[in-house]
Amino acid sequence: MKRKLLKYELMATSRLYLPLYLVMVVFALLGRLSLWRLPWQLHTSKDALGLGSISFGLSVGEAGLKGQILGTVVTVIMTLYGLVVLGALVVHFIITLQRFWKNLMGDEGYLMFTLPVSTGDILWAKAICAFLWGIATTLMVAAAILLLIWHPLAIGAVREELAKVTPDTWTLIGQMARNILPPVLRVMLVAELLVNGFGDLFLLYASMAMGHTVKRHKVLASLGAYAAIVTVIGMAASLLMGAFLPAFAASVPDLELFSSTPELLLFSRHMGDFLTGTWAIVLVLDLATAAGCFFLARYLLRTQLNLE
Amino acid sequence: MSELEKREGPVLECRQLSKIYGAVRALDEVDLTLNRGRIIGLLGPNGSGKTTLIKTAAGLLTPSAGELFVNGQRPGPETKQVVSYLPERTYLSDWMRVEDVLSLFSDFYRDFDYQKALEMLSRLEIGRSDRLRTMSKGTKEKVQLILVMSRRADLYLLDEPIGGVDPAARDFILSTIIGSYREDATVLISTHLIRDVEQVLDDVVFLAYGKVGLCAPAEDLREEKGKSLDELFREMYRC
Repeated sequence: MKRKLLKYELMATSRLYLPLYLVMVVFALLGRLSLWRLPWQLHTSKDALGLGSISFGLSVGEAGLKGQILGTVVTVIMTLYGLVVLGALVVHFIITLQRFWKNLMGDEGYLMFTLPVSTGDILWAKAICAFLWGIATTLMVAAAILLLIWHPLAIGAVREELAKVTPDTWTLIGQMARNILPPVLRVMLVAELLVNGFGDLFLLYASMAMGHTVKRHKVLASLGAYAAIVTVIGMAASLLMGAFLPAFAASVPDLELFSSTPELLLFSRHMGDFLTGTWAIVLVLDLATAAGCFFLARYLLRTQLNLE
Repeated sequence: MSELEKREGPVLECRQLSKIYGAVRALDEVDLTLNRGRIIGLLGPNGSGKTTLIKTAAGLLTPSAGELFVNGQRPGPETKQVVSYLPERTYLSDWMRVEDVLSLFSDFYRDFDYQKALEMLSRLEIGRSDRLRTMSKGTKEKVQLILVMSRRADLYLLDEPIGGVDPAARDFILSTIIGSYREDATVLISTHLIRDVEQVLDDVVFLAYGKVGLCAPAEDLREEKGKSLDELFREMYRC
């Protein structure tokens, strides 16, 4: 049943996300075209890379009417590009809230809560769908930015800089990276991505479910519930970090004391231990938050919900 | 309890069922047993607790006290599989096409008769690819009724199905209900438009102030009191 719920949730949301992605791609292409392809821009010089080329293009544009028009067009396109790319994450957030509020607490809730599925399944389907769209939207934002700034000149410049690094330095960087990010920490980082991603969604769901239990000003009450839950979590985090962090931090020697390779490697190992310990606390806290918010939302929807 | 035993007992049973909202007792220690194969009118003035009782049976509300059983089970995913519920408002998403909602019902309810729904829709000249957004409120309500009545459920809970519609639509709705439900299923129709439904009712439950005032076969009441259900109701609950 969870799979069926997910199918309909994806169906309902794809009609909102796919046009958004299409708009992002169009503006990214237009932005790229105006930055790198317009004839009045000099992109043979490294100085004209990235945003620098906009100011160059606009300054050239001041010379003639055509340039002025093109300058205005570029400014408009780049502004819209910025709004669309950054706005995509805001839109994702709004869709996530709207899908829960309208689909479960509005009239559509009469259908959702009379389907032969458990409330937990409904919550999971909503959260999995929102999580997947969150990843997709983040990737789309990254792709839209890369599409704009990716240029052979930029890559060449980066390669040139990287070529200056000696093989010994690369080896040291690799060893330090492995020490700072031991396998257990890498696993925890991936787990944190999932736990935190779902935890944030369940936090939103629990806040809205709490807000919906009051008779009036449900939106305001949801905001209040969100602030209250975040405050409680913040206090718990402060207490836990206050108890464990000083001990972890004390185990890391001062960086200024080290100048040789073995000392740097030793430092990176200590840093890896410090990060692993700290991250374990963060993970436990986020896991508790996610589970707490999930059960709170499920309880409220199961027993306290009164659709109007 | 086996499937057979479940189907032999009452389809709906309330024991001392109460639902309290703040200081308001929407349902007040209701004891009620509904048997199978009956069309039952849940009659009462506005605010009498009809919708609360139906929403509790549909699993949308949790009782404040007492118990409610559908097929011997407390409301949950299992009872929702045998209860077909029509709320008093349209609950379908506007962006959906008719074929989307047909697929949704078919996916979630194993008792949904896709072909029967299609036939009923085509009689109203509603196409599979029609979007709900383009339909009038009345047409959407008819689509919803068709979806609900195309299930082979044990219990149909119809909340004010004829409220706010024109007389022609009322005829369509009542004929759809009578012509669609399974013979051993129970249909619970809540309404305050008693005159329009009284001819189709086997039993009536009068509800007022959250309490059951009367629960009896419709024909017995008419014979015993020498009055129509509408007259009887007006007499009992005169303001």
